[in-house]
Amino acid sequence: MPLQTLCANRSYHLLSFIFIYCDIPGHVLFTYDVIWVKNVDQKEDQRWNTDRRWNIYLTMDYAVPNRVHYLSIINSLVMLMILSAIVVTRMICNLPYDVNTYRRIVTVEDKAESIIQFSWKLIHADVFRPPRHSLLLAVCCGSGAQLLCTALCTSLLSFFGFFSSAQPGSIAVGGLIIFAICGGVVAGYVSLRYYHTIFKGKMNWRSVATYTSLTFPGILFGMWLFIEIMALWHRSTLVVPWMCTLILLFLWLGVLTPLVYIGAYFGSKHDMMEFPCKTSSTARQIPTQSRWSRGGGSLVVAILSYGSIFTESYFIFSTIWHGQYFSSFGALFSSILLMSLISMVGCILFGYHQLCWENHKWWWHSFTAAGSAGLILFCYCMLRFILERLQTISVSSSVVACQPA
Amino acid sequence: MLIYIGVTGMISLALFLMLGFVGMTGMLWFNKVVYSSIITDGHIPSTQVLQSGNTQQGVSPYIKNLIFAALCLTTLLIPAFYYPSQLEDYTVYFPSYSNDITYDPPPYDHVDELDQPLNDELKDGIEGIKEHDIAEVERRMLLEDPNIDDLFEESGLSSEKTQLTSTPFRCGTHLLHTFEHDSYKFIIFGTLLWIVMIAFSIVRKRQSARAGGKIYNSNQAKVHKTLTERRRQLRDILSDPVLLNDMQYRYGDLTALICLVEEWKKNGFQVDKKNDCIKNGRSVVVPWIRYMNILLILSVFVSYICLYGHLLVSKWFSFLSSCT
Repeated sequence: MPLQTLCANRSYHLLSFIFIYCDIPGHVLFTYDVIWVKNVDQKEDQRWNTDRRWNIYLTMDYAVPNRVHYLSIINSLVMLMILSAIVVTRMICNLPYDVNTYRRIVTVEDKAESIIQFSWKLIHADVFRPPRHSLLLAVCCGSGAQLLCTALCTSLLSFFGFFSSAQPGSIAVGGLIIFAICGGVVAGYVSLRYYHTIFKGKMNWRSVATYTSLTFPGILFGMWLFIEIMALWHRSTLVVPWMCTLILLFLWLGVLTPLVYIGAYFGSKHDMMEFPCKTSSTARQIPTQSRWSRGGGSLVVAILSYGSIFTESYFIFSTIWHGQYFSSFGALFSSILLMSLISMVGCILFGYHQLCWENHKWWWHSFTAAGSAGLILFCYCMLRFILERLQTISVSSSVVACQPA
Repeated sequence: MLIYIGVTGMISLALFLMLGFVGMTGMLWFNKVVYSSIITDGHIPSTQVLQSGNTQQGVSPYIKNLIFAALCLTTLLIPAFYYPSQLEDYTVYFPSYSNDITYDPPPYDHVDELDQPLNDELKDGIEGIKEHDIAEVERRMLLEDPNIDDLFEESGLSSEKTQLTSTPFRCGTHLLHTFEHDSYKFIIFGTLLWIVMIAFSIVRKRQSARAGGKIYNSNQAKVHKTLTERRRQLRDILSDPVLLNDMQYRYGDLTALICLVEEWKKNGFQVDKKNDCIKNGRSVVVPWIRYMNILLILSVFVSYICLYGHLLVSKWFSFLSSCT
């Protein structure tokens, strides 16, 4: 059975012939033969020079045109523009810049109708009330900032060529170093800034820093260890050595944790954040909420956010599970940035409507509404797993292959 | 399976935290900005000062709606405008491509049965290139034939034939692949079906929106509930000294409105069904039906443009290109 490698302009470079014999039942002899053909076209010959040899793999022989990435980015940009226009319109209506617009309203009924649009102001004495479980929220915010910093820095450095798919494990190692060094300081600073100056928590800054450095990195390390144990259980030859595990442990406890403390120290030095409204002593009763405010809005925000990175996530998961190469780091960086902005703007719109319904518990609601994109991603992966009937053995081997060398 | 769930869970958790932080920070900033707009210092400018300060008329709501509709349509039509750019690719794959050749789609039955033995007409087309030209290229390259350049001309002739039987965008998206498997009859039938469905939907909605209809009754109940809730909110706003000051800053004297709210308060914020509900119901229900119908028609139009209008759009594009 001959296999043919076809280039974009229909020139052939090699012809492979695969032969499968099945003489004895249960025994299969697999062999192949390769015929190399000299390139006639000079331009094509240049493509196979040593310095550009990886291009054919990184671009998958241009199987996916760059326009796919561009189109995805343009769609996200337009979505962001529309959402931003709605937010800006809301802000212009609410801010008292053009008072004459309201003064033109003469009749009592029209005034009543117009004043209703400011129903969100009813909770001005409760809107900045610190949330429940403020420590957990502060730790989550710190870890979120750390991950955002890591994702943006890694994709940007990969875009500039510091990390490449051609060097196995370089992206994973680079990402881990950025997560520990750069992200550590950011995580400590953000968690303390939120906890002390915004939530006005009473706990010591060292305790908050300890929680920040142990919670999410601990969960990540635990899950990674679980994967390693599973690989060891299946007697995989590509299990990461114990020395590598010790290095990771050192990176977490020896590098990340002290840097979190340093960041937390600087975060705790800030003054309390001044809010425009004073918080009352007793909380206002929240009226019965609609289905939209209970979950529909979160779902829409999550779908919008995940929709902006859907194309890139498809290629990234193809890289992880199907052994393909990913090289569009510029598109990835843009997508992460756009996804964050869309998530922010969508969350503002959803939160604004929530405030109009006099629901002042927006801290956790906005966090979970924006973060629900992670849940959508998980559901998508499960659906893909079921539809594609991914083999467990290939999954484990791919996971191990993605570990740093 | 467990490993897959573990890795996916890690990535999902990371995305959850990352976007959660971004969303909450954005919401905090927004709240700080909008709540700082509440006037708390008690300074209320006089009407004369305000009127002399800014007399410029605002943008008409029709223009605002038009801009919004244009933005929405642009978003939805982006895929349709994307297709003409595939022409460039097509010329790479098929150098003999010409805009002068009229597109002539193959019969639906023939394309659907590609697995079966092909007739001579189609062999000269799509399959002709696959089976004849590629095999010829392969043979001559292996033999290092010096006349291999002539082969490209032969390929060009075949590709011209291919263009007659295949859409010029077949190297592009899967979406267009659908078109190749459809015929005009199918599209016309689908369009007619949609038109009938829309007409039926409009008639049913209008019937239901009349007095005693299903939509009418349910919306009357909704309007009643909403009005009661709004009146209660208005009472709360005007009872709050901070917000009353803020509203007086915006709207001027609110004495008449406060008296009206007092009157509502005496009646227990109940709405007179015969007058208020019907009046408000008309302003809510009728536009709602109208907008729903417009949305339905627009969505059908846009979906047809996106799915089957690429040739039309490409012609516009080539016309504009020739003009410029």
